[in-house]
Amino acid sequence: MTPPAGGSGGDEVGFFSAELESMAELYQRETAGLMEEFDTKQAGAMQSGRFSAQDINALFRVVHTIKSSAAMMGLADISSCTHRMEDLFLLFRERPERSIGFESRIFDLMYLFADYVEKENARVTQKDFRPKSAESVLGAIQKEIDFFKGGPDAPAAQAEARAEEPAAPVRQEPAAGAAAEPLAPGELVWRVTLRPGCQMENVRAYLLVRQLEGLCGRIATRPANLESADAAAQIVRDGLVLTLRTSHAEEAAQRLSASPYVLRVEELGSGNAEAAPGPDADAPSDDADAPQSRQNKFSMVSWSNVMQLQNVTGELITANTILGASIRKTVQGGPLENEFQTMTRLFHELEKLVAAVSMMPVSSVVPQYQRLVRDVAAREGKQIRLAVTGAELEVDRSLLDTLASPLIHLLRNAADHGIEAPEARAAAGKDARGTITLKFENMTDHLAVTVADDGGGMDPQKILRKAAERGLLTKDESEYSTDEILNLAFLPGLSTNEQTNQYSGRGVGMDVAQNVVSSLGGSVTIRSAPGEGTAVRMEVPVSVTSSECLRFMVGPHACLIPIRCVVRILSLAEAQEHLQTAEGRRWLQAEEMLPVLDLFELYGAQPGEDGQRLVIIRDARGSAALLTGPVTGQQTAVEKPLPALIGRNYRTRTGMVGCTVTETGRLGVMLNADWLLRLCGKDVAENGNN
Amino acid sequence: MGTTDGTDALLLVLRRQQARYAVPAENVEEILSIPDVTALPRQPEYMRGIFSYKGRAAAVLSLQTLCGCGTGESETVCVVLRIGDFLIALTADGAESLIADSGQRMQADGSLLDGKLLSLDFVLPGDPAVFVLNLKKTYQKIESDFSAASFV
Repeated sequence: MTPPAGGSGGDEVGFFSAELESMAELYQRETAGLMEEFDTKQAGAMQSGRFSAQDINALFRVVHTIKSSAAMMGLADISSCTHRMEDLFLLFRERPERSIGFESRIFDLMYLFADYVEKENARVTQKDFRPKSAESVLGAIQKEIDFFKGGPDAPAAQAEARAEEPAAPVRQEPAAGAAAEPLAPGELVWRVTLRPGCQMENVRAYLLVRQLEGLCGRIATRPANLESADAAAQIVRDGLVLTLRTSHAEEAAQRLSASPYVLRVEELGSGNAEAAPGPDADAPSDDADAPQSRQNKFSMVSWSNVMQLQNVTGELITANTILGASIRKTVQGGPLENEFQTMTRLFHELEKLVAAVSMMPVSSVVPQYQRLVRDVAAREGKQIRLAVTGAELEVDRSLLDTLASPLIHLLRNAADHGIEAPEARAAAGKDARGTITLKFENMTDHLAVTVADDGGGMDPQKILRKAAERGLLTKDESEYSTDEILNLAFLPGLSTNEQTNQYSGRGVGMDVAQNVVSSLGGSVTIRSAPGEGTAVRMEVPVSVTSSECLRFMVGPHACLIPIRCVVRILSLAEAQEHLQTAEGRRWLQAEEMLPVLDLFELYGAQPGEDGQRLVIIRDARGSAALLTGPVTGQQTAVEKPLPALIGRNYRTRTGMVGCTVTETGRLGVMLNADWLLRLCGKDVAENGNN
Repeated sequence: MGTTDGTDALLLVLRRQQARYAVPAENVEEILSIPDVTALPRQPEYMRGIFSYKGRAAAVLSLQTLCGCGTGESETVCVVLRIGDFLIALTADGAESLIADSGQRMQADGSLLDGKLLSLDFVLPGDPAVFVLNLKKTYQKIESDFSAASFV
């Protein structure tokens, strides 16, 4: 077993010494970030089907950085694993052609390595943490190293010639002092001050310099020899002085500042004023006589704090809505209302800022989906490519986290049941390799996520038969349209697959997608053609903080529905002449025939004498008219989930998916257009874009 | 009959007409007067509705109605309880006192159970006896009742 890093063994003592234990969380965050980069690079390589030189360099950098940090923490197994991975990537760095044709093999190894490091990293802050042996991972990496060394075009000598230090553009030499030596054109001198107590300052400095690799043509450090015994003390005293030449100064500064160990980065001088005039060369400098302070532009923030910030912002907006109603009742216009308007504007600014803080690129979640599809394909003996579009979009992390579950189910379904076996595809005249497309689209206030496959498609008759067997049909089989049949796939437990396996086949996936998306106030649609494939499209609102809602009464119940779903509001009296009764229900003759959903009947409420309205709603599923009581206004609503006790059946049976504080301070219920349209059943008027 | 070991825990005693019920004080978040509750349609009778408690929607249940003896109109207090990650609020005629949980309990006879949705595994000896609510089981029973019932 790996000995405790603190040297104070014993089962009752933690693995780390007290000093290192205080560093464990930082190490964990840093490693998690690096592994995310590792996964992203791998996903990129899998997309393109090959490793570029940049991929190899980036992967090399990542494992090298983890190696150093792990060594610092006394995590010998991770350090050894990363060291071997360095060896492997070095083979490809020297001779990129070595990897060609063996990418799949390398991806497998990378998954094995990533699994080990990520699992260890997840545990590293636990009180009872003890490193797990990496023996099997080390063996697997060594096996691959031997394989790639032994290839006919990969002379062993070449790989063996690896120097202990990887080829690095770092040249450690005395820094040009800002005042002592004139700086060459394009040269910059920065002082990097590390956080007090960050420990092993010289090693941190070395890692920071390595992070600038690729951005800077030449880097000199002071102290010059970062490995010397007194380098750490000098860095504590004077900071790390870097003299560098780069055309990416901003990015280099950002990389340095992003390190959790860096307190600040200051510019001590630059040699570009005369010799390398840039677009800002003529701009007056306000720091001619003083070092320019480059405060950290990025910092790591605990996600729980961001979520707390989201919640508090939501509460503020709610409180502001109630305050606004009170102000409007007591005063009309005047300074108080002006102040309120200013506050409202500021709260919306705050909401936007919080939303921006919560954003993360879609690309950060793609690797897990690549992995999933690859695993299913390998297990089922299929060839599947996952094509991702829109990975560059930035989306609220909560939303991405929430969508993970339906995406996993949908991707599994597509890989397991959608894409056919290679022989079947070949027989059908298709490419033996199937494609699953995962598409993210920004639709202004909605995010659309589509999982589409070019597989065999769904068999409507099979779905209909299964639904009939389970007693799920609500009318005669002959009355179902193809779209209605496909929508039956959303019913819980309806799977047309004869066999289940570890991935799918229990009829859960579509149901999960439906429920999760509905809980977000979104909608799901499905399209499928036999022999051509299936596409499931989820549309969810992007704002997780607030939405503008129409408020109306249904008997005693205050109900709200997002304005974006509302097309028109008619008084029942006005619309009376356009109402018809057919097939036992009412219809509204508008531009098209719309089914009328009587909310009074649905909620068992008594309609009032007057004030009844028809609220026409529309979403991806279709359109319908809701019979409601009087419309009482419009408000910014922050949706809260209904108590878990109430259960999800309630949502599906009432269309009530959440609640919000109304202007009166009482809770109102949030309605979901998609569920209401489902309650209209077969009679929903489909949109043209369906 | 059976007994359990004593603990240092406290119990909050609630009144429902002449009967006394106790809930573990460690589960009590707050004792409020009856809040402004929003009724939800198609709910069982014991569900008074929901209200906003510290930014979350909490279900408000009537002890009287859960016991099947009253409509909850005479209830004056609302005890917010945390059961695991969940919040529920129980309305009662009053909150009486805090008592030490001596642990000297007797397993209740089935005939003593007031209402099928309450789980009263034990009664505390006394005059009159105090029924100790097993909150977790009670929550599970109510949750099952919600899931099983077709309120719409």
